[in-house]
Amino acid sequence: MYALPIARLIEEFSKMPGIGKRTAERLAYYVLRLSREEVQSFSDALIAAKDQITFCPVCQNLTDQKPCEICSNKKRDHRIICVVENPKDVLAMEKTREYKGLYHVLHGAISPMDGIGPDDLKMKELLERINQGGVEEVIMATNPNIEGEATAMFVAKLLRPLGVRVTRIAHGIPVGGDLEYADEVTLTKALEGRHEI
Amino acid sequence: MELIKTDGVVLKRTNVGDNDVILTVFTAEYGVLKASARGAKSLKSRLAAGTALFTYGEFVFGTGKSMHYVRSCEPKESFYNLATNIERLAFATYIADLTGYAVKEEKVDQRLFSLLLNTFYLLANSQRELRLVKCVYELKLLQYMGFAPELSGCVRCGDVSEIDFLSPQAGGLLCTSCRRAEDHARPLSEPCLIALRFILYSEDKKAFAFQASRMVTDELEDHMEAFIRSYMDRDFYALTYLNMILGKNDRK
Repeated sequence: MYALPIARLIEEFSKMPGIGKRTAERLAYYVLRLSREEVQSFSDALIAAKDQITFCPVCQNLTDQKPCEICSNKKRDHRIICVVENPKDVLAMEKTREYKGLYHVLHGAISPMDGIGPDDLKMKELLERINQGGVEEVIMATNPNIEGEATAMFVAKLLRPLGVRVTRIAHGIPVGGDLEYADEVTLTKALEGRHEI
Repeated sequence: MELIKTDGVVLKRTNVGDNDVILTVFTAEYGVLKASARGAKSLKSRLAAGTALFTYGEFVFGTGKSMHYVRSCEPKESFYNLATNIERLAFATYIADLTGYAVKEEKVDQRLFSLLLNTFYLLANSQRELRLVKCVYELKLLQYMGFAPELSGCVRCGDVSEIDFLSPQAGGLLCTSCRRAEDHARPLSEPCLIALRFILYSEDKKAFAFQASRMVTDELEDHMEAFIRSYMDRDFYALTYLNMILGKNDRK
């Protein structure tokens, strides 16, 4: 039905998450309408990202520098490490502009259903960082779901004997949310984490 | 448009795209259903709490083109304590995986539904030996599916005196002489037989109310795993994972 190069392009696009066949077709025809230079630039960007992005040897975030920009920033508080599941969580935290410490990216959460155990996550690297000394607090900012909570508890259990303070980010009602629709667990957590105003 | 309103427990939750999930829900009235929950991953979604893994709640499903979709859900119990340690989580995941496989759509069994709720409650909150809780669930599940092992006497000759072996393939107890023709039969101790009978002949909640030594628990667990493997005709990855977490593979 399609010329072979177009069919191949559609097939490659449709391998991407969230891209169905119809969208892949649209993207393929869009690429064909671009100039050769634009396509070259797009292709170069893909190869460069694949070649240059590696794990930061300190925080395990994706980076093109070793160590990454955040880990090598002397203005940040190196005594605090915020543990997150994914690189996208680092971006979300950075958007707040409230947090000035460092990060550690686990690249997932413990999930028996998906066969992800502690050894599949970047936990060994976290332990090595703590053992090197200088860290006073580890903030567990894994997702507030059952896998994220189990991961937080597991890491806390590992770190407690090392004499470091382990804290968990607060759970509660989202800003703009409706109290009426909050479930009992969220409300309980919100009450536990209440503060004086 | 037909709407289905029923109580259910979320057995599995698969992420789809940025915000959507597909749920496998064991319902009290319609067996196991698959349903999409659009936007459920969003923090502000009204479906977020009710569609969390292992949550028990009241669901309203709509009927879509290829599968049901969750129209609303009101959580009744989240079993959030299952997240307090990795062992509890691994036990619950195996129980959910086993149930999702064993129970088919439109297969209604209220006893199994309440057994699952009791099991999740114990796994989340109890200080009991969780391996025993798992064994009780496995045996009761087989019983409710009509695969209960014969525990009154030898399944071949009916002898009740020297019943020292148990075999999933034979469907229950075997005496010493009948066992010779059954290579796959495993030795069965008397305390383990007492435990099996107690579970099988007790009501749901009472079936969990017993204690066993570590040796008997190990034996009971081995027998139940053999039965599950034989009757379900597959290995459960969640069970392999659980045994890995418990360090069981290292002990063998």
